Amino acid sequence: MKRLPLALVCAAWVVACSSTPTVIPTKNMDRPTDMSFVCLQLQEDGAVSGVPMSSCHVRGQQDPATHVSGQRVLGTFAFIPNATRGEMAVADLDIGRLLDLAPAAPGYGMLPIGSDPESISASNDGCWIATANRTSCDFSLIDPSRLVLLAGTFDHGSVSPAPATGTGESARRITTIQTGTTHTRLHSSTGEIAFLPPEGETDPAGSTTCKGRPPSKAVATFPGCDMVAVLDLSFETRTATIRSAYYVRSGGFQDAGDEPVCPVECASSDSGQTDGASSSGSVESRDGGSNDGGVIDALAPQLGGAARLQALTVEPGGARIHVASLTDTAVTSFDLGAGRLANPSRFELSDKPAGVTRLRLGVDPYATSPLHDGAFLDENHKFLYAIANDDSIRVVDITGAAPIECDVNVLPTPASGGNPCVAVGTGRRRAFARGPGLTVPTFANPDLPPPLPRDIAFANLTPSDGDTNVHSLSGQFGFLLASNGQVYTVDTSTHSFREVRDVGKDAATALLLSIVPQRTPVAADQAFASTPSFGALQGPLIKPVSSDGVAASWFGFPDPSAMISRLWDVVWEGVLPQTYRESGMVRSQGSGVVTSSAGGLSDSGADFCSSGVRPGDVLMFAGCITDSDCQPDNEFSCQVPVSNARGLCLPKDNAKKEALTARPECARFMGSRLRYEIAKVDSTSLALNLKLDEVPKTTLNPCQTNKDCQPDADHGLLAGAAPDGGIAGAFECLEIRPQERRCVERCDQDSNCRPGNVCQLVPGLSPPYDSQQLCVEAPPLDTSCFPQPMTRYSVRAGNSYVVFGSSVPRVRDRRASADKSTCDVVDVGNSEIVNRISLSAPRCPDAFFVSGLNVTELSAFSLPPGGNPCLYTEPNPLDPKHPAVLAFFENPQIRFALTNLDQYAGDLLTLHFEFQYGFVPLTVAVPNYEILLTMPTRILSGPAMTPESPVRSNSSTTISYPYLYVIDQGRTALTLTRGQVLRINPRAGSSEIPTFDTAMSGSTPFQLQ
Amino acid sequence: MLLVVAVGGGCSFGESGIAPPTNRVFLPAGMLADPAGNFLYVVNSNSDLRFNAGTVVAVDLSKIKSVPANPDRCTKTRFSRTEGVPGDYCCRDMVDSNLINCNDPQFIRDDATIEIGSFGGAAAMQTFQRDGVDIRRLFVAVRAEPSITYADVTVGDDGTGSQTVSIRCTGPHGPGAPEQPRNAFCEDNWRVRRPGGATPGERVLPEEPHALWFDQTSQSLVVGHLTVAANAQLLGGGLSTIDVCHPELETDDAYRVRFAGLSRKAFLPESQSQSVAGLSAPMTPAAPFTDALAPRVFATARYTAAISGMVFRTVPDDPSNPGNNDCDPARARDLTLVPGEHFFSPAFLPNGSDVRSIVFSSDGSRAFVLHRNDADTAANPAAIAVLDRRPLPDGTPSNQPVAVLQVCNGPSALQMRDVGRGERLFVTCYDDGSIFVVDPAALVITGSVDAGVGPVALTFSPTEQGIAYVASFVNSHLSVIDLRPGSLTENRVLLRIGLPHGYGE
Repeated sequence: MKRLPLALVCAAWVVACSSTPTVIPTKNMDRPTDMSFVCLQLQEDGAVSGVPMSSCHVRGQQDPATHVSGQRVLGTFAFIPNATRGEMAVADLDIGRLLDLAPAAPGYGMLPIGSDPESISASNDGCWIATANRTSCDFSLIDPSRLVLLAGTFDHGSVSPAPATGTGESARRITTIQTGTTHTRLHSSTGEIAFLPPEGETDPAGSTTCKGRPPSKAVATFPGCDMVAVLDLSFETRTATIRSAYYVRSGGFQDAGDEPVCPVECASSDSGQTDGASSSGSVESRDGGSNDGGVIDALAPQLGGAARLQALTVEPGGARIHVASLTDTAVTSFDLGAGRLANPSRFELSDKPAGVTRLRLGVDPYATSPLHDGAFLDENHKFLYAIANDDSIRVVDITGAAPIECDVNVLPTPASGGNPCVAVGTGRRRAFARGPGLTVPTFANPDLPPPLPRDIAFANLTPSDGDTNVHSLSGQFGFLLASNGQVYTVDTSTHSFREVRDVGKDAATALLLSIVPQRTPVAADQAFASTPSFGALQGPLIKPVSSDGVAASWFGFPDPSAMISRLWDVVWEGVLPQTYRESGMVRSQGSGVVTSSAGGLSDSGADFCSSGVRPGDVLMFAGCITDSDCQPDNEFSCQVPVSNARGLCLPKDNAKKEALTARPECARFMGSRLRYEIAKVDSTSLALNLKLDEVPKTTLNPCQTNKDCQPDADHGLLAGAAPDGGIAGAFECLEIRPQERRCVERCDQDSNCRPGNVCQLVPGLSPPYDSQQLCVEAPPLDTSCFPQPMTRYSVRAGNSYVVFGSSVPRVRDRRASADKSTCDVVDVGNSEIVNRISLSAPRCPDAFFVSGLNVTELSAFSLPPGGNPCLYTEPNPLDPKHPAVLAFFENPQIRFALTNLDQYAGDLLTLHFEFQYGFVPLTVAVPNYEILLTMPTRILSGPAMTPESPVRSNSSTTISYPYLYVIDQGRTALTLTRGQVLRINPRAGSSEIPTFDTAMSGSTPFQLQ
Repeated sequence: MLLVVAVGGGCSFGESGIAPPTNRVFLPAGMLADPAGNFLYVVNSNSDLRFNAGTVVAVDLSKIKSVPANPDRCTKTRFSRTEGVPGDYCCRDMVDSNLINCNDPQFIRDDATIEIGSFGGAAAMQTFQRDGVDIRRLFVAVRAEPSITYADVTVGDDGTGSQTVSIRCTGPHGPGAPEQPRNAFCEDNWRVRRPGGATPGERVLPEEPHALWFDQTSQSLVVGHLTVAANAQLLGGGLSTIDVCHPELETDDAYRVRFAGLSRKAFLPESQSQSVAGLSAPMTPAAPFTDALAPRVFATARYTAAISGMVFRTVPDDPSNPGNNDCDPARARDLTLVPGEHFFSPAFLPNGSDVRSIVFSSDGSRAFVLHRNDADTAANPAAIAVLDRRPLPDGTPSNQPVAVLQVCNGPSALQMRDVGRGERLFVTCYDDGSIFVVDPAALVITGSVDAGVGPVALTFSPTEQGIAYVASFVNSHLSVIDLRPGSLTENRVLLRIGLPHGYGE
């Protein structure tokens, strides 16, 4: 016992100064890349053999029992290559666990297979697994029954079944990839590999075991050689012999026969290495030159430069394959007959997407036909999906002899209804669509580019007769895996994203206006704001349109089948995007190039053009709310210099502050509304004019008399009247420039003006107003009144309402000129892409009046180019002498009429409304925090059916909804392990919502890590 | 009580009084190659505070030629720091027979070693001539007692064909300074420091200098700062700028290296933290200095996927505009940076924070963004995201992601270089201990180099194409790696400078 304290001391000392703790490496997944499935069966002779997947799972039938009298007789296994360690993991899908192939060693033992195995394929007969190992430039061939039995999965009591193929190595590196005639070895990186259906057999299920069965032919791509080839694989000789090959590049294709020539990318990968050894060496040409495939350049110069042919897919039955390159713009297709590639054809994708990373077919790979496993979801509409390097998935109809690229973003028309493929170029594309392909919707932050589509898989979820669960997926759906970790559901009959509100196959819950347009003042960031009070039917309003005076519709929807924002705001003089900044530098009037009446503002970090700033807009100095708004915060704090004014950043040092506020110029500025009218815009600077304090009027109701300029007492409605006489002066209708009548206020001194306004001579007006002072919202800028190095500001849309939809991207209709001295107007190509309702909008065209005045529904009108929005008048029942001015507005998502624009709205008006069922894409539900995908890479349809499938069946239909599997390469723990396989139940539980299974999913847990 | 004393004494901070070794690489955190290719300048961080200072050492690369071609096999896989191994000892690695391990003292010019504060890290270099002599000025970000410490390196010839090197960071600047004491600690007039008692908003060097970027065209040094805490509040690190114009005239105080700008708001809208994870070069070729609106540097964030192209705040007609003068000492330059183009690397949002680097293709049409994933940010992917930089109709880059590639764990830096096969991306993988080589056109991994545990700096030889050097923080050694196309040892380590040690030894 006496030694214990000493031991504790020693232990504590060691702990206190220990270095990084020893990390015991775990043997679980590390960058899994792909997955394939095999069915193993215990034969009558007691041996275990691979068999076609139809022995374990047949769509539309109940699965056979996996155990008989306690003895396992069937098993479904998944094979998962891991790129970082070059190892194969095996999972028993019947129990949802990884298999330990080396039980004596810590962690889950795995099979070494080669460097960067990134593609895997299982033969239809279940006898072979092949991987393409990219950076070791070879393949691996695996006998699945030998491998799986290493884990004792079929053991029962003391009985350990033997593989039907006999004992021996379970895997071999196919290091010799050779030409067919001269057996010249190639050393080119490998891309994807796929087995072809066995030749000469109409029903592989008819064969009994794998004993003595050689691998069937396979097809593989070789990115370094830009080649696709049909191969004979030999486990015995460790060779892959090319039987037929083509070079494919951007310039086309060329038959390479069975004697292709490739650049040498890898050293002899079998030299000095044992099977399974991982090479970290180069995969690039060893000729000392760049890896540009110079051999092929010389051989077939017409083919163009290296394109990295990698993507590969084989149609069910193996009669046709499709390939594409990482840097090319086309898909090339081949017929396969007698083990040879034939009839190549090249299909250019529209808009040149710069490359294709993957090709997928709209198939259920485990739907069984009489001849083979796998079938298109719809034999009448066969689709090929190309995951393109433009952030989209291209959809190609390959039903007919000539492929047709579909534009999934065209506006539906009566003619296109029910057609799942509208050919590119034959329809009008939606306003904000980029290209013809499927793009992940970014409804929550529409200005951000969407995440990348990584992969797509398909499932036939056709319901049984009488299925009444209208909210579940019923039909044929794609499951799009995106880089943000979400899995989106795509209705393949329309190639549109399923929405949360969708029900049944094609129907959707109607949009519901959950918050009708409400008039609310915006947050008061405007000092000395005017906030007139309105009656319920007065002031600017969104006007419901009614045909019968009873049923009214507030809104129309130009494209009701597309994205519609949930949240909307129509904001008077709303802030323009990315103009709320803190790095403005003020320039006084007359300094340098500033010749405007009030001075200017520069911000070298801003891009006023792309923000859509234009002359007539409003610059407002933002002031401050808290001390942290002021920088440097050790010198400045947020203070309110004038009662009711906004906070300004003033020196903490009292002497400096008093010196500042004592200056009349600064005192006037600090007590003002701090707003200026923008006279000229360029990329990084604004020239400013004094902004008149005025009553805004539309082009349809310019002021004619002073009375028109006096909407309320604040503007002189009661001026001179007893008892208080109103304000000292009244607003007048003055022609301040030729043909320009404005409601403004003349003054002699600041006190004549409304609070926050100052009395100032305004340059540029016509006589006599060039010599008379008017009330303006701030005095000319004086840089000495801006003690901070930089100033906060924002830019507002002048004399306009701005329409904001939560899923509407910003309008990009201005860009900086080449010398950045001006902003040029950009033709956005669609008159619906607008976001302002300016009071100076044009009058609606006569043709619109005819239909517009007779519209019974808002959906009936469509605004012509240049007339969106437009203004017109109609009688005002509350004020027969003054017709109401309305604006009709339409953007790609919504249309409405805004009325009473003739009435003064004040400074802070916002109209807000919400739709309960605005666009939200349906994604696979994540039941708890355990499911987190950070680097998703693959999604596959699996062979097994969900446990609910029998429940969904009835007497006429046996349902077998498949599981889908997602491979994620993200980090799953704090150690150096990465990667997991997750499972999706597309109609899970009683709610039948597509949901990830977790490790705690009741009786069906699943999460392989 | 004994227990408490033991715990406290077992790992006391600083162990003041123990001078750092002058001929060793210990916990290196920064490294630069001399433009002439003969020396590496290595920043030893002393991050375990084992000594009372960090150091900057000059590693003589000419000594590599003296390494025996086929030395004996090492007798062990790890050596202790305390065992008496001769300074010129080399041996063939026990595990990898292609690799030679050499004790580091034989490469280090210990007479040139200088001492700096602890937690030195990022380094940058400025070259200039003074009185006809080529001088390299090293800047090192030092996080303990925050400073940007700088020193002047002079490489000469001893007349026998052997090169000499000296590193000065004491005494007056300029010629005629007295001889520097051997292994001196850098003096205050060779440091831009954060003065004691400085308030958070004060216009001085902020805390936690983490990243450096030397802007050749504007002759300014941009410093990225991590999150700092003050008065129990998290405050943004942001950026600061140091004017390093006219170092050759530095005897005049007006030209002295000086603090010249502070920008707390690097990312807009203001994120939860303005912590700067990395600074990356703007598009190549670099915009001329007269283009005041061109980004000088791209700052990336630790806690968001935000990227800001920082520009100098300027008023075109203002004489203090940095683009309008040529370091005229009569007019103090305002080098404050403000956020210009601001965007996100959106592929992984809402995850994908801790962006460590952005590299642009030579034609500017693509950007490669390195997302880090480490133990603290496990929910983020370790990946390269490729952004399309072609303009939208409004002239702004679309920044649309077009490809992603999972890379090694804990990637901390990304560089683009042509080592003979065309442009390749090189990813420094701290957690995995490797350098990944990526073909940027196809975005596939084309090789990886095992580079020791915790690589922090990858530097390419300026004179030998295909040779590069890696500093491994945890292993405390340097690796010479072979990237030459066609070499039998392509993508392998040729030589380790520093014997293999245990973690942190």
